[in-house]
Amino acid sequence: MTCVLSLDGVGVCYWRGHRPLQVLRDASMHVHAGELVGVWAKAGGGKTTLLEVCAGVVTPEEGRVVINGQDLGGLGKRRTTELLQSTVGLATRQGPAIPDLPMVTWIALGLMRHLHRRDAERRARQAMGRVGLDALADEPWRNLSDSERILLAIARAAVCEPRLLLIDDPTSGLDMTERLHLLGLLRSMTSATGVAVVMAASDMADLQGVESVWSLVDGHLVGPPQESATVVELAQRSKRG
Amino acid sequence: MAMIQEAVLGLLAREPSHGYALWQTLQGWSVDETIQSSSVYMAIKRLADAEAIEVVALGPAPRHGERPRHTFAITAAGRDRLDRWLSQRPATVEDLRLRIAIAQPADDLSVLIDWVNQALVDTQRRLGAAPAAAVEETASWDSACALAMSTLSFHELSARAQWLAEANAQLRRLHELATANRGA
Repeated sequence: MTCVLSLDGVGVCYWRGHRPLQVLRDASMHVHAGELVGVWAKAGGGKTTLLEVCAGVVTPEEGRVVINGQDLGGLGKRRTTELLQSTVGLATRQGPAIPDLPMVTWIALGLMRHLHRRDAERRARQAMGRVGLDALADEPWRNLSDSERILLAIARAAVCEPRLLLIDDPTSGLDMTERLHLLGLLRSMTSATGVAVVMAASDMADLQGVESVWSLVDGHLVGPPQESATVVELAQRSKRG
Repeated sequence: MAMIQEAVLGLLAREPSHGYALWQTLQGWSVDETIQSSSVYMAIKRLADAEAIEVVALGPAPRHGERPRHTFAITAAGRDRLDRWLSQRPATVEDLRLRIAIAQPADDLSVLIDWVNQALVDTQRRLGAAPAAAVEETASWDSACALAMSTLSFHELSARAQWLAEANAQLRRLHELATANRGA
């Protein structure tokens, strides 16, 4: 299976005044095509930063980020932008900056760089149809429920047919039926198109049915056995580094 | 609390104390059960019989119906027993909590961190393997029971995984603090 996303020893540090805040420490994970991966961290635990690193929005101070076989550290700015636009979709709960924008236009915006507006909106309607919400094409963001918003954010992130789809906290605030519906949808997307999906959640119970669950603990990613290193191995690795 | 003898040994390794104070501390550590004072006094008696602890100061003569407040301290044999126990991997989450409660800066916490890491990975794997139950519109009794079971199991596992992740973070912090203390 093709490795779509590979993080190797990634470290990210923010500064709060004079105090460093290490959000990611030696974080490593590999995600393959067609895989559905969940990452749990408590609120403020670095989920969004991790997704932003995966999306190439945040450049880590340490480590390597490889997307679809291309090391982001070795690419120029223009090629990185091209790679990310064609390969990665990021869905968050943030709506459009223009409050009255119809959803179909919001979803079509990313396509308008290459397509005429009419074609872009046709593709956007198809993407909305895949999440079962094409009836909401002319509605603005403020008229939508939580579950409709996250589904449309996913439709928007997926409209360019990315290889890697990153979703920030998709299931919080949804009831169980809505969660299962969302999960079923993501599953059908991974099996139909081979897209790899990484979803982050702050409640582990939101990851029910996700095959591969990771935890982000104090900046460390703890994952499936083949990926996780013991403390002794980590110490040896940092000595070697 | 299943390991009261180990808890008493761990507390006495910090400083000598008497039964009532030990009981009070252990009650504060317990999350969902009340520890009977008699269990603590029984543990003290067994440890004293095994020469793992000893009386270092006799308390004042007790009034009628009260227990004497003798002060106990850990012996060399008791320390050996405590060290042996601490060098083993914890058997349960309760066991792990107790070890965190009695940890000292000089202790090597890497055994505990590795155990927590492994337990977290195992729990996550079970979470990933647990199928999401299908929600049927006209649910039969059997499918409703299966859904209830699957939901409750999942919530139990996910709460356990979150607890282990938190334990992992807390142990790493203690580990860093102990390392910093040793360096200072």
